[in-house]
Amino acid sequence: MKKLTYLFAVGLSLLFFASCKHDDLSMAKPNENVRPAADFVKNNYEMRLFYAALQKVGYVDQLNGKGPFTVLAPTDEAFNNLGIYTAADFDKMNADSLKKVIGYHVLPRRLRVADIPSNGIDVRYATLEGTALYASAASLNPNGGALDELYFSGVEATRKDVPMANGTLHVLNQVMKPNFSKTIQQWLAQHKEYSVFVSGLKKFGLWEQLAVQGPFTIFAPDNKAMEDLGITELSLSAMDASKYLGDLLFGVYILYDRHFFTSDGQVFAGINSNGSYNYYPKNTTYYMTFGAGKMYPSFKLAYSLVLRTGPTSNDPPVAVSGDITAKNDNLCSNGLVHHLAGGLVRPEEAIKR
Amino acid sequence: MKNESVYKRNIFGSFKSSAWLLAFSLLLLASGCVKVEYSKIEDPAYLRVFNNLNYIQTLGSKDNKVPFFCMFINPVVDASGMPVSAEIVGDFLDQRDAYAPPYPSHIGSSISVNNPEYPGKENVLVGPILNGFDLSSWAQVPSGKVRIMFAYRPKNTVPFFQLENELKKDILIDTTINLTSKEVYTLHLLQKDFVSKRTGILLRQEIFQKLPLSDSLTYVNFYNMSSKGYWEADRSLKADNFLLASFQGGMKDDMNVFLSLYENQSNLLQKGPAIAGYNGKYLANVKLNTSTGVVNPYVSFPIWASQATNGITTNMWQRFDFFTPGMDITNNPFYQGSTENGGNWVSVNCMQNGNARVQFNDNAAMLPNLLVNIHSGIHNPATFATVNSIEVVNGRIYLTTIQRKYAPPVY
Amino acid sequence: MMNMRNLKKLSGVILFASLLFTAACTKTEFLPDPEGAQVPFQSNATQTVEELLAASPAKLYYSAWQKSNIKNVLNQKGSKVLYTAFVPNDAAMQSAGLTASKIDQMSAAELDDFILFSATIGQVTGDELKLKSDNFMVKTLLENRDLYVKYYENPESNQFDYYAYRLYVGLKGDALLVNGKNMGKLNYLPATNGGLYLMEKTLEKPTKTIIEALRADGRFTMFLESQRLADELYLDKIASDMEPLFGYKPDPEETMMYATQRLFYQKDWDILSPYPGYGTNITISTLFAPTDEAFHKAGFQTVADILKFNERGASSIHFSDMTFTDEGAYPMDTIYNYHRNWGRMFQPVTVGGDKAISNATVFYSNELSPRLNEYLVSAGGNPSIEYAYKMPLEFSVNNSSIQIKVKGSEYPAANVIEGDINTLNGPIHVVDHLFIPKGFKLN
Repeated sequence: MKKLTYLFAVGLSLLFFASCKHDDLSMAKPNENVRPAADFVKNNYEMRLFYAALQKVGYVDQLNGKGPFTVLAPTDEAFNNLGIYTAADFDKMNADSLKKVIGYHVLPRRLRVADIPSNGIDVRYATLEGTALYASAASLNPNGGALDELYFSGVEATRKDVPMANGTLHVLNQVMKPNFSKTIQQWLAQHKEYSVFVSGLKKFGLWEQLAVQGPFTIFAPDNKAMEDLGITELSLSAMDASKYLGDLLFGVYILYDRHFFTSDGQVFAGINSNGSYNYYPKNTTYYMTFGAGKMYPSFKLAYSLVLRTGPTSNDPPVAVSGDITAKNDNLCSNGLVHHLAGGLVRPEEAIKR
Repeated sequence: MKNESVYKRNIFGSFKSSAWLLAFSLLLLASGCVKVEYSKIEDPAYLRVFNNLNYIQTLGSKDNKVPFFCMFINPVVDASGMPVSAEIVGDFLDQRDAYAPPYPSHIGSSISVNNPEYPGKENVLVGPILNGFDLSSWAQVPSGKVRIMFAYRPKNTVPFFQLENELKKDILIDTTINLTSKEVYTLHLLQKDFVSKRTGILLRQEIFQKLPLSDSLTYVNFYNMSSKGYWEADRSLKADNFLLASFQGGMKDDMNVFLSLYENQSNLLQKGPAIAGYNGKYLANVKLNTSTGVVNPYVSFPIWASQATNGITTNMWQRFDFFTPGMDITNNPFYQGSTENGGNWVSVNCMQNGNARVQFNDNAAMLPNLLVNIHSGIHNPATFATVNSIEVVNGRIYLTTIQRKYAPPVY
Repeated sequence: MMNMRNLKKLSGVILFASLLFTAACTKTEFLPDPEGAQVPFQSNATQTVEELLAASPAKLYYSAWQKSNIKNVLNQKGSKVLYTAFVPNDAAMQSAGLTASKIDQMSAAELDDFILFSATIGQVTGDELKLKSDNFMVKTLLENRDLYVKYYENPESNQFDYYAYRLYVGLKGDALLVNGKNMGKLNYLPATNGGLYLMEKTLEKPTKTIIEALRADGRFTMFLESQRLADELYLDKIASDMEPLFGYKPDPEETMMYATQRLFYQKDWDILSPYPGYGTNITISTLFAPTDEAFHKAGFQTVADILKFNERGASSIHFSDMTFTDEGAYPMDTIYNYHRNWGRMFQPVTVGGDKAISNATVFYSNELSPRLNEYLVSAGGNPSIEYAYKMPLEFSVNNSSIQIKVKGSEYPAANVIEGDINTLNGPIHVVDHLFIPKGFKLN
């Protein structure tokens, strides 16, 4: 009897020691119904193209294995916006660059929304491909209310924190467009729809700088936009460069020392109620307002540029917008290129006085 | 004989049992007593640290890092320059609050780890009652030449030393400062140049505890610790917060400060007439200074200036108008509610707890009343004179109040 | 057996007691001991203003003080009110002719004029003067109830304040300057209910308007006459333009009511009467008056020369039936505007015709320095801050001589040959060259 009580007492005191410290443990309960990453994508009806890409580049087994992984899965509609409608379309692309782009959409770690610093801007996370992507989270508005928006390299994560057996998954509504070590100059040279713009930059001496470290944000007007302003390859070759202000005619499309994703306007509008940026285009007295965000009425990410002759000028401003979301946010090694469907400055306005 | 042996066994047994009991109770003691290590600091100096990097991230300034830090005093760094421990650690150092109270009153009511100042919510040794002044908002730190370091840290709830290694290497400030024992210091982490984003620290040795100050006068001094080039910068690079009112755009580098005293801080509908002799009264001149830790002269106003006071409590509140030199407060070309004045006119109302919104047309930011109204002794409330510093940093205005220890309330 | 039991009980009790002790241990966080004692406060003011006056070398002033009504005026403001007095010492009073017998003869109104002009509600300490880079504007107790200025604190009406005579007090080195004039060494005596300044000169109250002062002076005949004649010619032209619209030729008074955009000869130099019931009826600013010599140096020998020069711009003057007001100006108006109105003729205008409101521009000669070059002459009002008008004149100081010119002008700078002629409309500074802006052609 006494032995029992002593044992009981010893046991009690041991319990005291054990109860003292508590490490905070939060563990996700293992759930047999949750699949590993690649299988989840395979069984998802809106990610068939993404699965086809995973198969083509050979990531399926890796993504079904030991994680942890965070998969950023673009929907089929996202691939459609790039002109990819069937799995066969992937065969037309360069296999190596496809592998790099798909690798960019996987992070070799578990990254849930709660792991990203609140209101973090351009937080870098390494991807499977090796380069780090940019994550921006609009978590709290200035009054402390919750916002809950998340963007990866300019693309919105519409569904977040989907649990996998070996990680987590976020659904993206566009495909991220990293161009890795390609500079803006190389990117523009490869895209023929901006050939007039490229010629203009070359003519006025603004082309060489786009090969070196920026950062730059380029709003590239396509050839149709240039034609609407009266600028074609022919008229350009006939132009006398010394009579025109190149910094105004073509330099106005270059934003120096900044790299803006279209999503940045939406993020800053949320966390700071101010999603626009005013600046003087380099070497001009004109005044430009850059605004971006989810534009009415489609509520797709887009941006707008409003150009005035001066900050208090009463002249009518020129406004253009870049609202083809799939053509914006081309991430190059030294900046970003966005598509512009309208031009800003006519040649007559840029004549030197 | 048999009984003896039985007794002996009984005695032995009972001794054994009481020994066991003793051992058991000692075990209980050992686990129940919480041992708190209160390391005593020899020859302490008293330090208070503020993070004045109050820039809001805008689209134009998106490459600026979030100003959320961990402060180390006398850190131990490993070979790669990463801090592994420190004598004093001030983690989760957030942007400072508009009001720095005389005693750490926000400890009990906080729901997050973010600390608006050091020591703030930290459980550390604090300053004593020095010459009658309550220094419980100042921490005791080692004196002499100390190494001080500020490291960026992500804005989450993970303590610094448990972060991933790559995140612990972003050091902003790593310098040494000289602290004399038993002296009172405030240390400010601030941005010195708005265009180049250069940051630095400013160490100020306070002298209020050595000045002969009257108990019926409230003292205040003014500092402008804004970044060079802030007020001239474009609007889109600055915070857009209507609560900052006229302060948003910053103020010019040389300003005159005028004081107006009003009778009743409970009346939010109208200002009411000013107290005679204190309507737009010139008080001081404040110039931009982020390089030296000089203490600007204290100016004062009487706490019993109102006619309607009984000498125990008063409802008086203060308004400070800052004008660029040459401007006349009685002939002000700006409208009363004008908030974009090019840095030529900024104003602040000091009433109630600093959160009241006035209903009359006004362009002032809000701060708490400089006078402290609190239950003391048999009077509820009683008004006490204070010693204050008003600091303007870029688009925001901050108030630090220091009070003498007052008699505890009698219920 | 009893011993055993007792021992057991004892040990049990001891055990129990020690447990209680340990449980009863209160763990209080220790506060450090208080250190030091409150530094005792000693005010350096021990007497009231009146006691200081009685003991000071300003007995004449004090006798005038006692005879005047100032005590009642102060009592009306409240029992705790603080006040400051600017007191000329006996030597100053004597040299100004205010001897004891003169003071006895002065009427109550004259005494009030004298005493109230030298006192103000509120404190103006010597330390505050040292910290301030511009002048300290002191609103004296002497009011002129015929003159109205912008509303600030009038308890009777929020449409206007009564004009109160002002002292602009500053320091130059260790000398006290009031309205730009040197009053001797700074000698501030703090009191329990305010303070007083002992001065070595008496204060001079302004009595004239600008126009009266200019006329009485005699050095500004060309400045005055050319503007008067130009106004006559202008009104005549506008009236002729109005004749077809009105059916008759209006007289000059009626024409002036429609010609609102011109700064007429007397407009800001006099008192507006009759008083419209709101706002101000007196403009207070600073005038830089050019002497006749200044006109000679610019090539104008007589007033007729100026009028002839004006003719080249006369064609721009007309009455517009679109805006129903006058438009156009003479060339000399440009120059005069820089002397009289800080060049506000050229301030930025919004599309809707809004302009920024005129800022306070009363500057005595101790404030005329390069610090003024960034001052906003007009600001606020309806337009946004981009439409504020920055100082168009450039001030520089060479060996205590002040030079002024229009910014960017290639013409020689003007020197201030005499400053601080105080009038009801503000100070007049006499300059020896005209303010001619950049690119202005004189021939």
